[in-house]
Amino acid sequence: MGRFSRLSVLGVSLALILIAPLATRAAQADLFEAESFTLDNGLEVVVLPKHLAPVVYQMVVYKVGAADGEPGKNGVAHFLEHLMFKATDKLASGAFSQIVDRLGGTDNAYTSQDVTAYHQEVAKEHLATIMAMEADRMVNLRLTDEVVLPERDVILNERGQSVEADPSGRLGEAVNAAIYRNHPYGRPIIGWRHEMETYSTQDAQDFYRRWYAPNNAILIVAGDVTAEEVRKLAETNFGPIPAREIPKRARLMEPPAVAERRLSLSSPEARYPSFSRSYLAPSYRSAGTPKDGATNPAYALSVLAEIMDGGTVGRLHRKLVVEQGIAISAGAGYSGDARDYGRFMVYAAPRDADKLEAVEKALDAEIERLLKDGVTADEVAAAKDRLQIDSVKARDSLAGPARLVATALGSDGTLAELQAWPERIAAVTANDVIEAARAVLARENGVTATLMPAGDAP
Amino acid sequence: MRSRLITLAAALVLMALAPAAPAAEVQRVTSPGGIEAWLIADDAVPIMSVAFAFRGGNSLDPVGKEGLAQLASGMLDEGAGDLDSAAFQQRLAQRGIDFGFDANNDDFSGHLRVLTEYRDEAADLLSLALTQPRFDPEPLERMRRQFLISIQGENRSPDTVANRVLERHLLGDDPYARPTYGTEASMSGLTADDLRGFVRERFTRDRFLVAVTGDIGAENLGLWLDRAFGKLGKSGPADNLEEATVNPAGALLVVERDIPQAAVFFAQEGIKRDDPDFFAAYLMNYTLGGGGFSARLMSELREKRGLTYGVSTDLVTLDRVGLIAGHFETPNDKVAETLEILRAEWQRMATEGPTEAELAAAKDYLLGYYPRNLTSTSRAADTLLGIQKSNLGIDYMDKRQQEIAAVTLDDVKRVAKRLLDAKALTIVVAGKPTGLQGAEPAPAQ
Repeated sequence: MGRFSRLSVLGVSLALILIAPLATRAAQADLFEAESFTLDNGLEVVVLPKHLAPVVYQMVVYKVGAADGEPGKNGVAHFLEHLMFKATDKLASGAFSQIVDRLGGTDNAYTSQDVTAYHQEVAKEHLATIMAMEADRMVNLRLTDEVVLPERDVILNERGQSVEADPSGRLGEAVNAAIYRNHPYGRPIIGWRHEMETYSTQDAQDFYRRWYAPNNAILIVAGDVTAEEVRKLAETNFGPIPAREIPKRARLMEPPAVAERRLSLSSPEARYPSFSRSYLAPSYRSAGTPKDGATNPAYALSVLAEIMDGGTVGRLHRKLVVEQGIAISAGAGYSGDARDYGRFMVYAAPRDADKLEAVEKALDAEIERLLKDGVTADEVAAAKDRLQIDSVKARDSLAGPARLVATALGSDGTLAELQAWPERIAAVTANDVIEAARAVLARENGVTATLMPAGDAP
Repeated sequence: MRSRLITLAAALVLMALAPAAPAAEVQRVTSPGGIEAWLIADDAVPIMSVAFAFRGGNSLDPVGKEGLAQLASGMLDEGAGDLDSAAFQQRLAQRGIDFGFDANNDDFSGHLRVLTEYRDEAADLLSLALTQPRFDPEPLERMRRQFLISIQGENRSPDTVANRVLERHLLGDDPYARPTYGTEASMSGLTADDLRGFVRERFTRDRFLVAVTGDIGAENLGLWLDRAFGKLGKSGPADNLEEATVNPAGALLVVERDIPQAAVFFAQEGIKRDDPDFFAAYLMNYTLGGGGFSARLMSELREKRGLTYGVSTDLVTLDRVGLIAGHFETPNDKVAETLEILRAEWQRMATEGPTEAELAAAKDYLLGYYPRNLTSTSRAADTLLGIQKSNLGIDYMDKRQQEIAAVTLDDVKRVAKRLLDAKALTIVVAGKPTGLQGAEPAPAQ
């Protein structure tokens, strides 16, 4: 699904290309043929049948993420994710993944600002086993210093590898901190190193007891199954687990932006110079249902990203890379999946390392042109068509639709809203797009970041 | 296994004996024009994926023209026939046709994914790309520029430099050890004529493989194959590369870089895909480092000691050489300790091989994971193409069960002894490792 436009490489000046008139594709009603129900203890269950291969993909998604952590301990959600693979009452430490391996499966987990998700992919005949194991670790985790403290070293290593050793990782972390001055999305999911060094077994235990319960979780099963099969297994495995009182998620919100923020990082490990600007935007969920039947701007921003980026035919690539020849790549994207805020981004890499300023000027000029002259009906129709085709392609995957459901429901959205995405995209007008652009693409709303290689190549 | 696991383990043994669901039906389709494809038909989603390859990859780039295959792979969707770059890209984008090419050491491959309603248009565009690519000056210079920037970026990357050092030490002057995109000099010198020659000589039916999965039946696929590939030339020059020889002398080399964490790459000679002991070697590697959290190295380095976020080993099976290779990252002051454990585990596997329990676990995985290769039309098409490339036969997905089950513990122990030798390991460390015994600075690249 084109919820976050892919990186662009090429583009074309659309005004010059005559394309056959496009009938906007009919929106599909039941995108994933999903069936959903809720157990008595509050566990939400979603089934996504897919019979191409005799395989199932299971997810257990907890509606808690890094942004729900205590101040000074926001990385504990991710730490707990690691610790969930340690001992339970029934399993030895590390046994979870070993058993999945025995079954020929794959398993992993991820933590975002809003959710912690655990997932496995196995041959269909093993669904009962992996569901039993998820139900077990939902409530029976046994945390001791013996297993917790070495894992703290592992997450410090992970931070070293994925952030500190990677200049774009470091810069991305700085951008987040700048774009969110008050909201917890500004803190890194993995945590700040000096805080991670102090995480304790008690911290993990407290977080686990506070947030992990069936009424704060979603079970998603995609693959060669029926809803009836899943219901029976869910009742058997999760049914006996009692609901618990779960805190409300309350986060500090952002005040209005007043000043453009600019960051730069020079590093010998940076491969080539690049530039990006991130604008704070509403997300699908946070934009909600606007008054007077107007379109939720998140959908308009998706269409805008497709017009500016478009994979191979967006404005930015066409202008900066092909026509002006000053950039080696240029594009845009909109990410609207988070619970509280979304982000609209533009980016470019210069053709010549010392021409970064010229590239920024050219990007600014394109944004001004957009805000002044708007978008054409043809551009909007073509962008919407491409997004609809993307949503068909998204069905050709086992994990993909499950992940979309996980993100939507985990961030307190609904399945109905997710299913309605194609219709809502189809309803976006040129006017919606330009209004959304004008609301979001203001200078003071943006964090501009440049990454430069430092010194000569070693 | 610890006592807590027994009940679950017993259940698992029973499950492992239960036959896996049958693999999808693979049909051999021959087009009216004589092009053969393998097909898995499935109409759940109105989409078709095509994976195809021409044997012969980067290794065939002439000396002085390294990067030719890579440049070609980037240029094929930049204009063909009467459609210039912009027009061609517009056609692809507007129909949502996913279209891409890639060159690796041994072959030049392409993939296509398209909605059913646009598949004929996709066939026409593919045919043009493969037989009449334009290589116009503007897109060529733009693409060349992108590759030059990649080359410069790779020259800066400690990981890439370390890997190059590793490959050179192991394989010397063999084309496998050349930088993927060539050098700045070779990439700068490539011309449109070079590219046209490449397409003419290498995109021929005598080295062509194709696999399809999705919403199409055998008869329509036959017509589609001729529409997409019917204009390819019949044959091209033969490939004359010899087997590569692997340096048996181990080494410990340091690429000094001021980075907070050291990146370590290691390898020695391994085994090729057509070796009768391939599955024994695969099972051995799974136990040593290929099996994720089930592997010995992960257990020793991450689980027990927190020395790294991840460590893995792989069998690298190329047409002309086989290697066993691995990598991990660790803080600079932990490199020495980690390498000592790595070498000890390497040697322990060589002398003792895996245990019965470890072999059973590895076999269960190998038998159980395969259906996961078929969960999307593109994965399934790629899987079929992989089977074709390795000449494993159209019934491979059924045969492999028996082959794997037939491997004994003695087989794996024998193969471990035959292949693994900690003294033959070439280890390259990028970073500023402290306290390393016997390390030498890597030769300049």
